[in-house]
Amino acid sequence: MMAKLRVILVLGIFIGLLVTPLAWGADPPIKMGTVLRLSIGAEHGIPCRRGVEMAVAEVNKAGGVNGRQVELIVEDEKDSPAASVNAVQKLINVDKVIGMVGPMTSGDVMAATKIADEAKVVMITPTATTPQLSGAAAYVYRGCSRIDTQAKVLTKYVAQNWKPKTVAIFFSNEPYGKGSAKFFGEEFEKLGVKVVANESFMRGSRDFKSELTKIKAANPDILFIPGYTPETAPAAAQARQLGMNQKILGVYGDMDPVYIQLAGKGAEGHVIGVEYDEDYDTPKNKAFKKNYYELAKKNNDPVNIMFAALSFDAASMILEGMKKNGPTAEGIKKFLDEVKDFDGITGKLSFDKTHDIVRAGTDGVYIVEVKGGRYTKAK
Amino acid sequence: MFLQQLLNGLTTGSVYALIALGYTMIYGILGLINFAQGEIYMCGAFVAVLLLATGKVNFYLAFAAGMVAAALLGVALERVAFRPLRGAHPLVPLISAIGASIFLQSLALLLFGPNDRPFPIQFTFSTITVAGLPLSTLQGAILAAALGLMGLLMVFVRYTRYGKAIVACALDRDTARLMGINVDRMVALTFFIGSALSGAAGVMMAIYYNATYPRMGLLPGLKAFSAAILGGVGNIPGAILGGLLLGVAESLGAAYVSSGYKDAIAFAILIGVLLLRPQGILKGRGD
Repeated sequence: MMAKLRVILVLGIFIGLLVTPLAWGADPPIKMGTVLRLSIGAEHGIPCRRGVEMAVAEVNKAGGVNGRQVELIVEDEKDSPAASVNAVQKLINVDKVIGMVGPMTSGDVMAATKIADEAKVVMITPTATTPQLSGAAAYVYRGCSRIDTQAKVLTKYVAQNWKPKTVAIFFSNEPYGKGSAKFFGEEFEKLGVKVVANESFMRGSRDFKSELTKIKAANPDILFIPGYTPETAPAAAQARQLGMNQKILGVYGDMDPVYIQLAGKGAEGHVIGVEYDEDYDTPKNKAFKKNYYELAKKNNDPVNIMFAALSFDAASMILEGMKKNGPTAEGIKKFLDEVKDFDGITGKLSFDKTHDIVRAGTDGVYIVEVKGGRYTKAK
Repeated sequence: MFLQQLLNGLTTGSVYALIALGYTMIYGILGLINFAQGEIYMCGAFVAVLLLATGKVNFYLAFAAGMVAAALLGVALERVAFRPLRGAHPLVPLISAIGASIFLQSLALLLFGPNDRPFPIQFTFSTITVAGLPLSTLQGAILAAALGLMGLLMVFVRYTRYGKAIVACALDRDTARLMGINVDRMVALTFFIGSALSGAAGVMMAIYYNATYPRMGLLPGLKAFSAAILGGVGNIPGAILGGLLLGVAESLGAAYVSSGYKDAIAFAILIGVLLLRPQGILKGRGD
């Protein structure tokens, strides 16, 4: 009995001696959070999570922030403002994060801005496009361009290069599709391109033949189909089946390799405005690309490099803020307010007064076209 | 444009009709609505798409395999979800059917993931112009295949011993049993045939929309249910008529009323029929 106890005691002391220096030496990790679309819209949310994780892993591998590791806590926004508010509240109050990437959809971000401001915790949304967010909150920043900016740049490009007189809009009947239809429609009218048809479809539907037949009768010069890939790609394919050969303009939800697969030949010539140029020639971007495709393949992720890139940049800026000004929310905010031409993978990044991203030397949007079954930069 | 819309409507309508046949045959023989019919349709599509994706199977074999897999799923459902509950209150098998539908959808979501899969082989269908009307050969092929399958079913039910036995069971199960018909086997056969037709519809839609995904059966399943009610549930020609009418009504509604209300039209018709003519257009049960 005594012998056994002695062994345990000795072992205990021994293990204790081994562990204590480690425990004394390491500071507790710095906490960062992210709220993403991990159930509905997971085909975009999972690439975003991958991007954030890559940014955090990169910093941790290089020794962390001032010697402290960064711990990432991931939450699901469930495409519901209520769920996203809960997730943000949990990250702030339970996990005590000092910076967050997300939420992704406009509705979810708008609902969460007040909480971030009250708790004075920095939040960067990588993908929300609503104009309402500009200047709406002191602690909330946006890593992509606004939908009306996208509309201005794209419609101008299309008007100059395709020279259409009429356009038909076929939009997804939810806030994103409706908003795009409104802003693009207004811009087209300003440029003298007449909107001759305005039809909508429901999310989840796959049969667009009757709507497209109706649009065909209006005989537009071009088509504008804003929405999400599961619907916009079959819509393009079905337009071709009906013998409609107009050029098709889309929004950035369509920058998805699946779009080309699903739309088949209908994808050729498809033009969209995106936030990331895969051929952006910096060492950082090349490393990111290689790394992302390897990780996505290894983990069998749905692939979408643009979403990964946007969230990678958002996370990198938060981490850089911690490094520069110390690991506090105020420090990160100060960095984001002052940053000029940050070397991101989506461009040289700064924030303007309303906390929207500025990419030096661009209109904020890259225009790409599908050529030979691949997205290639048009401008 | 009117003729084109009519053709669009007939194509989707013929698919609703194929699924509606499953609803109506099963209702005819068991008096129960199998709400998992849409998932059987999804199963047919997935089996065909996955087989074709291997690159080792030709199209016709994959199509047949899709139908058989859907049929076997139907028979298995009957064994597991419905036969143990026979004789229970009518609500019980209905709940069981809804449960089976949710289970199969979630299972597919786990196994295959949420993303759309394109159809592995690209058909080069052309559009030919017939009397000034651009007719897509794809639409033509789907319409012809669907009508062909329906024709075969009608012949089967009317002129073969097994078909007549199914009708006899639908008319009166106890008397049929007294006449020496194995009722359980006929019920299984009904599930087999009804599910095979839904499976065929699934494969055709996987080609037509170039998209296969776990929730694909939800909307077509509900619409086919409306079509079955419209035609008179339990009535085979009624299901065909109901499906085609519903498809055309939707298509024309989207064209001349508003495309935003397209999906509402099917359900508005369902409510209208239930209020005004609950027995459906063609009354009756069985043949």
